[in-house]
Amino acid sequence: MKNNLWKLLAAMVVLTMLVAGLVACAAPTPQVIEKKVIETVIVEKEVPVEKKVVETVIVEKVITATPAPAKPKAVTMTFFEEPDSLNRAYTQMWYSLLVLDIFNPGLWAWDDNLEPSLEMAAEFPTKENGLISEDGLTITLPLNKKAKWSDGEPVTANDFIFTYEMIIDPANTVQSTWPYADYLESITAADDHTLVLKFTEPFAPWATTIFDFVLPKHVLGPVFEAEGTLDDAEWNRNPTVVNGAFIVKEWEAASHIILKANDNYWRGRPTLDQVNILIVPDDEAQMAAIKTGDTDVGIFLSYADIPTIEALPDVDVITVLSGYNESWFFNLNTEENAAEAGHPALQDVRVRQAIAYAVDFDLISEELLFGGTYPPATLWEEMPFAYPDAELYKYDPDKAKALLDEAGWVDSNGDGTRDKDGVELVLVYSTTAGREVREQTQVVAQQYLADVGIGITIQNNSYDTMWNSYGEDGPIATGNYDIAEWSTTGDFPDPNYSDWLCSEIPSEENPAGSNWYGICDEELDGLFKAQALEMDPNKRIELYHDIGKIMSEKVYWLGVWHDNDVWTINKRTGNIKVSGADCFWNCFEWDVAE
Amino acid sequence: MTRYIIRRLLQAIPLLLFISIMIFVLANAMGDPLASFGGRRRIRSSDRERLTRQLGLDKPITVQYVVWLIGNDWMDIDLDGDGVAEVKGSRKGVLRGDWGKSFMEKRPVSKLIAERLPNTLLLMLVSEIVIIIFSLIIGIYSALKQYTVTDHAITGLSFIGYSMPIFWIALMLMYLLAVKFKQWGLPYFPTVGKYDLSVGPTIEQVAWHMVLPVASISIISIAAYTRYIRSSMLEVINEDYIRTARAKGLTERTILFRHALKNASLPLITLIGLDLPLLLSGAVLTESIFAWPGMGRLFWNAAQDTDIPVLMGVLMLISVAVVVFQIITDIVYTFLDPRIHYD
Repeated sequence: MKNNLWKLLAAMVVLTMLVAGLVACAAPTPQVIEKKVIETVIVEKEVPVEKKVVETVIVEKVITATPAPAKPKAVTMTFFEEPDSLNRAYTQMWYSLLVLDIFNPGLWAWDDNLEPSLEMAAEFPTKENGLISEDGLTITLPLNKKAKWSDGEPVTANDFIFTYEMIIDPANTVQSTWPYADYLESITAADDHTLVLKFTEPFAPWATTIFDFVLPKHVLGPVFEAEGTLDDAEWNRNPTVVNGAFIVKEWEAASHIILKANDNYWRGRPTLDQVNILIVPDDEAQMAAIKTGDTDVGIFLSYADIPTIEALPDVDVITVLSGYNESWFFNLNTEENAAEAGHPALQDVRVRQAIAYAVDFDLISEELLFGGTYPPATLWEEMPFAYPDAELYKYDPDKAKALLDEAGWVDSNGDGTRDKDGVELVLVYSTTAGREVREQTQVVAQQYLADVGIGITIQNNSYDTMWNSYGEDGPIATGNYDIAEWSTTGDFPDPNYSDWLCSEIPSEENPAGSNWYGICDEELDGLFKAQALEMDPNKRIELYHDIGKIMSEKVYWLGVWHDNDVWTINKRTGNIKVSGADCFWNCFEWDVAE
Repeated sequence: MTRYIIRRLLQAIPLLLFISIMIFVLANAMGDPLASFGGRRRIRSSDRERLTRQLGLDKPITVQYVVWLIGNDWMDIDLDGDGVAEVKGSRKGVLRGDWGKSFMEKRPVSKLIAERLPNTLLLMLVSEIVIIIFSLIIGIYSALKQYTVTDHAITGLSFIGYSMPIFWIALMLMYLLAVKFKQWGLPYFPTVGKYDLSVGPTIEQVAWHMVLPVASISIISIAAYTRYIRSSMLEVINEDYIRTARAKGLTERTILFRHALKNASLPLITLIGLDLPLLLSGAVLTESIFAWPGMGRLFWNAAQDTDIPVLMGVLMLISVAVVVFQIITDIVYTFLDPRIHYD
């Protein structure tokens, strides 16, 4: 019996393999009949006549060949990360938002020129067309009467009201209730296709933050009534009834998402039959897939990849404005704040200016980022909100040294590092560990700053802990840095930021505060508050120019490189116009060569 | 034997409880579970406060562990943050089969694991079989041809194979057999995924897509196993009972497989016993590089997002598997070596 153990074990292993194989290959293979068959069937039937006669009837039955299913007209793309949910209320993840562009548009999408491309809205509200009230508190939204859910039901104002109710209901663990819970006083339906939003105060970033999606009330309403929450709704992962150009056909965890054309899309059936999304969590593997043509669209690539991609004959590389800028932030917390105070030298604007002049950011872009970008002068680079006269601190080490001398930071003890009142000018420079280009930048900047007598201690944090709040002992939020580097944007393409408000400085009472820089500049604070209330786009631009002027002159922020997104598009595709805000806004007209 | 198995299983209960406490404490120390919730931006402070409360992260870690273990359907919960606990919790706890919900995906952990486990088992079991078959053939051959040129070559290649990092092997295989083969106009292996999405999950497609990941996983282990098998075979074939078997006139084949290999396989069984539970954890790097949807990536993503319920689920599954497979390994010893008794 013991001798049979090996056989038994082998049989068990083979059986397990077979079971696992069958589970993995669950879907059946379609069978194709390629030959035309003419079959003669002889049917004996009794003909009801007065005189009972048994008649033989010969029927010739022609079975036409089943046509071979044409390969679907599909575009395939690779995502570095898998979406966490397909219900917009439950996700802020960028890759989820990309898929949502394809199947669940909101009122409008932002096109490749960052202009609104209407989807569920019939008209874009302005004061001029009367859809925004004079006091800016009421916005009327006429809805697209052609818009339908994929099951044929019309998209109505009630769907939007339901969406709002689901977002603010505490029974739902949604990702963000902002700005609905903070700014919306009421939401009503004037009729089936007119929505009226009343705000508690004028809310300038409404166009990029309100209803960038809508939930089907007729599908999810009964789920909420039955379960008391949408947290467990099957629709969150398998949204079978949608309002976009494509319908989610299949999502296999960590493997792929397949979307098929929606015949009920309000613009008509899209040009493609299918959009395939492969989840490829490795840069090199994504690059290999781009090279072999296994993917048509490569997303979020590194600047270092640009020379390689440009050498590929079948692939175009494009950079897309996303609003992001790789930035340096200074710790200006003082002893009065709850967070650790930054180096005292940073309180002097001349020291911050000296730091800006001491580093050749142009060369960093040229060498470390292969010339694919450049240092930005403002946080709103390439946008109308960018202060046009913002000073770009061009590399000038002599000017840096002069400014440091003027501020009283000199090398009095001859150790090569400047000091003042016994305090050495050595700064802690933090960023996320593991991102190569950031770490290379640190080393280069360390050398530049050493040349003007500023010491740098590099102290990096893992991605997991870098963004922890003050209450969670986050290294940046608690002020354990002097210079911190990461990439940031506002409510792109809206410029709104709240991180610079005095009220956002973290404290024991406000442990989740987002002003980790400890900056409380009354003038800047007033301007940031004013822009958030200003409903006139032109006046808002002026306010942002004033903000940009202060931030530039006082060096509250320093641009390292303008962080546009890098994409690849295979030349066999057509009409893919990527937007930095709603990347796949025109998926309905994408095409691909047969 | 039955008494031994029952005793071992009972001993496993406090051990698993201790492991779960350790893992829970370590998982909580990994970072802020809400850090990834803002997408490419930082999460807003008002949302952070609300989610901390809704996910129960505002409770002390001891309470969080108790909720994970026995649930919170006996506790009143304050959902809206008004300071008044108005509803009972809905968690049943691990002891009642509720592994909790992923913070990121808001889906039951058991469901997430059930989705990934078949893919991991498929990849890892096929790899394990390839490893055992190839390492047995090469290891035995190497032992029988001791100190020949072939033996030296196998030894050299084993050391090279064992020294190579798996990500490098994977990327080189992909570069050569996919990218370069395509450039040279040869049939090439697919780079990523489980099957061609335009064709569907046919057996041929899945098998074709498995070639590179299986090869990547197998190369290092074949190199390691080969060394173990060679050395244990060398020990055994010089034993007296092998000489006796030869003197009895048994064929070399019978001596090799019935007497030598059976006795030489004890260290191999130990190795496989240690490896089998790890099959469940998947292969993080290989799965990531070849975009294979398995447990390794589930664990890696959960670790990156500090998704504590998923981390707990995966690690406890592996812990249970380690305990169970150790017991199975001990039992298998008794079949292979009659000198071993547990009663």
